[in-house]
Amino acid sequence: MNTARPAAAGAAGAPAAGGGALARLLAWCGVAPQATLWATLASLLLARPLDPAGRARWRAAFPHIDFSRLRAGDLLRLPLQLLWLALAVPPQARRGHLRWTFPARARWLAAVPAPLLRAGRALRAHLRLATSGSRRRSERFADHRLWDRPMTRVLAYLMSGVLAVLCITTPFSIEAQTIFVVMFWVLAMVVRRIPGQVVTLLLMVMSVATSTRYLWWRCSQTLNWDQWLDLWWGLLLLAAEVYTWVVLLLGYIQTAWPLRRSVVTVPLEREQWPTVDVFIPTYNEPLSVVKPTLYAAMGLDWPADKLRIHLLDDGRRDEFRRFAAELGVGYMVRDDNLHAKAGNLNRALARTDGEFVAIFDCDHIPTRSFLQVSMGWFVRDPKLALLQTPHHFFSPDPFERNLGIFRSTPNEGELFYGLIQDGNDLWNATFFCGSCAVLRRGPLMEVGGIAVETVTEDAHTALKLQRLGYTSAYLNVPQAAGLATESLSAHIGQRIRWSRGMAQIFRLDNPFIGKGLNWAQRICYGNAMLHFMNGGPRLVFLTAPLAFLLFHAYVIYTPAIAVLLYVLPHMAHANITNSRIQGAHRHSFWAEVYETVLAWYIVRPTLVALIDPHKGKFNVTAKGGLVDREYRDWSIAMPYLVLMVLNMIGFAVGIGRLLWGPDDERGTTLLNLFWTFYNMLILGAAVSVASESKQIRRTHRVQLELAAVLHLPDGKCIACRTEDFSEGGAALRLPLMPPGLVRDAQVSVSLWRGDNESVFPARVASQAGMSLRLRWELTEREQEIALIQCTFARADAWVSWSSGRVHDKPLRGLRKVLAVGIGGYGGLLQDSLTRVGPAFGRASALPAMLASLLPRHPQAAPAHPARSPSGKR
Amino acid sequence: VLQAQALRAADLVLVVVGPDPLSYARALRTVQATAAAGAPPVALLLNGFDAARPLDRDLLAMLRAGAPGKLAPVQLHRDESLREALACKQSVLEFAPHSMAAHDVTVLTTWLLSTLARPKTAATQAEQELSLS
Repeated sequence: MNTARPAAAGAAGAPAAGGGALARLLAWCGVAPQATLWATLASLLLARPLDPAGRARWRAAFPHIDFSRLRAGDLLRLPLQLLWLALAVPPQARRGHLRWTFPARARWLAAVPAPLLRAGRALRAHLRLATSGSRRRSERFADHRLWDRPMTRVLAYLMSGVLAVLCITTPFSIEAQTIFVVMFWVLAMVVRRIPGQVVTLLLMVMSVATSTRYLWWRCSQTLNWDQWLDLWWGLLLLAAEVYTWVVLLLGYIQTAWPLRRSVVTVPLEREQWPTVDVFIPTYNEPLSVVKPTLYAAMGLDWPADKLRIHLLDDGRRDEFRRFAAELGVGYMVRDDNLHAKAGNLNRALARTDGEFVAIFDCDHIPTRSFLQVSMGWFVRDPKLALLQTPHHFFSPDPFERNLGIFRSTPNEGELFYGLIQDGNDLWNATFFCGSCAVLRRGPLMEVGGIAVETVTEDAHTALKLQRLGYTSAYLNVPQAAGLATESLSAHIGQRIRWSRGMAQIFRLDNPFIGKGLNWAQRICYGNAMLHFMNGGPRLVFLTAPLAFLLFHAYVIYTPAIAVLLYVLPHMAHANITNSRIQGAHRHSFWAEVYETVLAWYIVRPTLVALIDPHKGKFNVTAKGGLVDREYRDWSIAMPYLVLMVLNMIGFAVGIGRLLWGPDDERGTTLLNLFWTFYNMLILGAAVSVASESKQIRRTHRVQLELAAVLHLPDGKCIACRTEDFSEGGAALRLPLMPPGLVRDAQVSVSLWRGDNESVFPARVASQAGMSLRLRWELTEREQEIALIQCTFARADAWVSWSSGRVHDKPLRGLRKVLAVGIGGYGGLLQDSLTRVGPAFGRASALPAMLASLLPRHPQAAPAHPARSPSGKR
Repeated sequence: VLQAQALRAADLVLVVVGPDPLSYARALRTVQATAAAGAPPVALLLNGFDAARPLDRDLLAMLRAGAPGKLAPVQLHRDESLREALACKQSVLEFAPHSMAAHDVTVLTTWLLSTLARPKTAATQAEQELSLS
């Protein structure tokens, strides 16, 4: 990476002892450090503009200034950047990543006595040494034969129980609690360095201990029973905290040891492979959404006489009937729409007789290997009734699109499909997610087909199957991909349905009671349902500090310092533990944004469903639409705007109280101010999700490198690779740009599906650099089918989707979320100013202008390494 | 006689098939002939292949079905660069290194080198010419 820097920076990189700033500055200007004064002046004033290498260096050092077209603002930009160049040392390659260092910091470090530094270094080295072999040691300890004896286990349980009770319930003075907290934290920080699942379990135990201690303290010491207002608010907050604690605890159990099941090949002779019915239910989706799914389903690798594809059209559309007939796939309709999708599937179940049923939502394009990958487990385990694979989305969900985090930050679904289902799988509690799954017909008919009592028929069906003792499995290999919900309102609609359905199951068929489940299955199902009731608690957390700031209610009746000593460890331990468990599938604090946006909308449906589970109807999630203009969904954002204003008022009152209020309340006020501030930023992020950014393309481009051949009009062929593809076109990266490829030139492109080559006619849409953008000009149905099968339905299409993504670090997650929150306020300001008048709208560009004045890193230093195009062949 | 001798001496018989029915028929006969001559390994190589033409695709499918396991893992594509390279008296690797033809030849060479334990390029070339004639 160092080589990317200009030579001059290399000279400056060596810390100069005296006059460091000036030398660095000169070095950036290309002057050798040993040059005399005259040579320096000469090279600065005379030679500089004539020398192309020097000009390149200027451009690198002043990336935001266009020297050929200077503007007024550059009067400020130039000196600021010079100052920056003088103060900041270029990045040093340090432990694999580049970091900017400042000489001042180095000097401060130099002031630390040498023995102290040495001791610190020795300690670090020692720790590294100690932790390197610890994983093996920790696992050997957990595997020890001693634990197989029931006696030792009971003893161990008893001892840890007693310890836990002591740890949780002993009341401490402030000092003692401080020591306790620090010790615990240090222990966690040391242990955290050891990789392996055993240590993760240890961290979970520590997190549960601190959180339970916090809760115990909250219940026993922080409620003010004398003041009804305090008590009311306090109990409300406590209830929310108890909920969070329960979900945390159950979540730990759920994800204690993800199973990570591997693929098993179908072991039987080909003649004995079972028959599979593929169901593709549709209701109101356009044909263009359903087409690729059908094309891909036709290409599933399975004996043709044992594969039956059925399009289940609840919309009873002639167009669909004709299309299915042309393709030669089954087409089924029914005369009512009872029980929506579940009813549709049940009707189809009654009319077919395959041994297995594979279900795909009409927009989930299966890969060719789906059945081969998923059927193996059914043969191996005859009790297996359900195998679920992840739902993979190749288009951004509204969060990803509106916040610009597509593929760089994992979305909500990735946590569920990447970790939680794998965790459930250990406990034999994987549940059905409605699509991309295979079910065994026998057990399914035994429970009466797909469940119709609730609006989340999928999870309920799985629950019923498991009550009968059937097993379920999860295979974390993306074998189908679909479209995410397009707009925020559609997304919220979908989540409302899920949370209502989960609340219905909780009422009608509660997993905690009833027959047939073991305790772990109860916990996994129960937690999934409890998770959807987070709306209320979330709203309580968003408003709790206001109780003190606005109404002067002591929600937590205790000095501020005590609150810090108890709540900080609770949150910190929970965060580092969760970051360790979920880091690859979720970045810290993003869940807050996802949940905050939904909180208001799911409170009412869950409450209603809990009170009267039979109310409410099934609403279909709209997909395949196009957000055709940029707008702010004010109606969706309204609850958050209200909360935002309330929090702002609270914040202002709090500042007033800080300045003019009584002295002994300062600490509490500060604490609540901080809490409000955090809430405001999260709300800012929630509001910025509601500003829908424009979606330009109707079809979604998937970035994947595939081998391709470009056939030119003159008969020459160029071997190349794709940059991305979609149903509408593709981009090719060419080794050389052939002349004469004007817009609309007729070319064709070869793509492969295994060994089979297909050629697709296309026209040139545009070209930039070495990349050529094409628009497909498919003329025949066979070509459409082949295109889907060569691209979306490839077995390896989605495997490396999240490669190149960094593992979570809690603080980085926090920083990013807070930045999004601040951005939310900026956007809001700009929107409202533009509404007031165009002049104000222009004024709203001021912050951007001011930001452009700021100095920045010279270009040679890669700020963020660009994400490499994922997918290799 | 010459053919029989060459077949007996060969390490690998590379049968080049043009994308037309006549070549196809002749290729299958050559495969049978090699089986009679003491069964040196045979590889069928489809030359001048253009996946946009249905007949080419059908021939490829028929070769796969008719001589299972005998087809080389690469087809030489019909590429104008090859003819132009010949006209310029250059190899296609020099003339158009990024062309499909160059790519195919590279893949073929790599495959041949890895298939033959010891590289006997001269012998292979001789056989190639033989089966072309």
